[in-house]
Amino acid sequence: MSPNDAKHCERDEDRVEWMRSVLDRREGPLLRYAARILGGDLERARDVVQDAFLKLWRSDRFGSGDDAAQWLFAVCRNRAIDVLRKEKRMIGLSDEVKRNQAAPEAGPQANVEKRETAGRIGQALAQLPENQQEVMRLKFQNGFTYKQIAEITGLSVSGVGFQIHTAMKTLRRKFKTAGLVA
Amino acid sequence: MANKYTEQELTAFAIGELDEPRAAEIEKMLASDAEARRTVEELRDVGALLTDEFAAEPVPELTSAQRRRIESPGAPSRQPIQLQLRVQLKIPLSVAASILVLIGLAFLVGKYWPESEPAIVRRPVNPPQIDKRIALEIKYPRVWPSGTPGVVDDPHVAIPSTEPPKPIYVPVGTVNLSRDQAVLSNSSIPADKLKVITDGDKKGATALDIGPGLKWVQIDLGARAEIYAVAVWHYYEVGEARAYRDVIVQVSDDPGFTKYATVFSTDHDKSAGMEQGPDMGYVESPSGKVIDCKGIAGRYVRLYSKGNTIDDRNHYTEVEVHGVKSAAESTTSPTPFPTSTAIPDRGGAVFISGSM
Repeated sequence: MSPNDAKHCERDEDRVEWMRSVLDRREGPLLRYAARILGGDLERARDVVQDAFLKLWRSDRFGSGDDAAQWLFAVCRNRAIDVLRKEKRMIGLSDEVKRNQAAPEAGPQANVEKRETAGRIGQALAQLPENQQEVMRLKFQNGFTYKQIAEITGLSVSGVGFQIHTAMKTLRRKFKTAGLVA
Repeated sequence: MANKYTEQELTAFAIGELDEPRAAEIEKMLASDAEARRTVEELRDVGALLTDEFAAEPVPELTSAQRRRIESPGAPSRQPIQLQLRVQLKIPLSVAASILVLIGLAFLVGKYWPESEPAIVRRPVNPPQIDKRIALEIKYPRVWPSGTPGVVDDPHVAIPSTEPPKPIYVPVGTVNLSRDQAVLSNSSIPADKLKVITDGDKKGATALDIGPGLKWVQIDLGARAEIYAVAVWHYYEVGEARAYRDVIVQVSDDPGFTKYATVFSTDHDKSAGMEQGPDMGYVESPSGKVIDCKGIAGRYVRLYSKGNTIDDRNHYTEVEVHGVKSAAESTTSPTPFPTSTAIPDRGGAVFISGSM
């Protein structure tokens, strides 16, 4: 084995490890995100996420110093929208998703009050426009910044800020009425 | 002077999205605006409720076949290559031979050779499948006499197991990155005393008392790293049953932990003021607690606790952060730690359970 080959192998091993760690961290969040766009269709979401990771192999993201989360979300989003377009079945998220999403499992200390609270939060969320639900999830479920959300969704940064502000305003009002915030 | 900020700016301020100078300006203006302060608090409560709600959603998984395909790096390029081969085999042998002769002639006379297409098949883009993970070796302190720790009578504290802990598999090259690294805390303990937390001494006698209530210690790894395990020994005495409350471990790239990932949390009732934790409490023992962090990337590791089942004090004997420095390490000088001990903004939280 020449020194060059050895270098290649070392880099390849690093690349495999990197890919595995990205997969461990991002598999679940990406599946949730893609499934919502696809109306709760988890099987199709799995195909979309698999495609995104295979595309990651072919990309030059390795060694860029990040874990490609934002890139993967953007790829999944575009791919999921393509799937919907091709199949001409642009369906609303709210009802379908609610049917397909399993209810959160009750923990050992779960009680009726907690389930009711979760139900009220979920209900208020489901009543938001879909674009607001999407940016709220990217922010509060996946921890992206306004700038990152803008890059994933193709919105402007100020557009993301406006959508999140509007959603927060609506939810604050609803949560106050429901007694969830003081 | 009237306060000048828009509602939208106030939302961005509440969830940590404003740049630092503007956030400081608004903070100043809020000092004289009780109503706006209340609004900010309510918006933060909304953010916290949403984070909790989202964190409770089930996490779907790929199928094992899909995972294998992704982890098997040959997959993306193999299929097209095989397809191409099948097409070529359908070409009659005579035609194929003619093509080869023509190509050979063209090469010899130097009339045409596409520079962009190498004559030799390129090295595959993706490497062969490898598995270079090994079980993480933790050096546990020796105690005499040894024995299973006692049971803490609390439904949120696990009954100590007599089985050895499950191994954590880590990449070759994983090391203890926290050894002798700088430690900071929200207690009044000076930095030079906090050094015992990363000095490699795990004997319970060297445990440091950092005070009562919710306390944290924070380790700066010096550069961004992929973190595979955090091991923590609070304090134990042979024969006693002691479990620390609200043991929370977070990782961040930001010394102020405005955004962080929680890798372990026993805070079942949110009494630490953060997300609800899914992990069971545990009884202190010479085995400490080794948390699988699955390669999460970050530079700072923060550990919280809020007293223990015997008294309200918080102790640390040793903390180890096992990982690999990231390929693209930060070349900037370390950012100074903040002096604030405020509970981190929950807006950017990503909840990751460290329980296996």
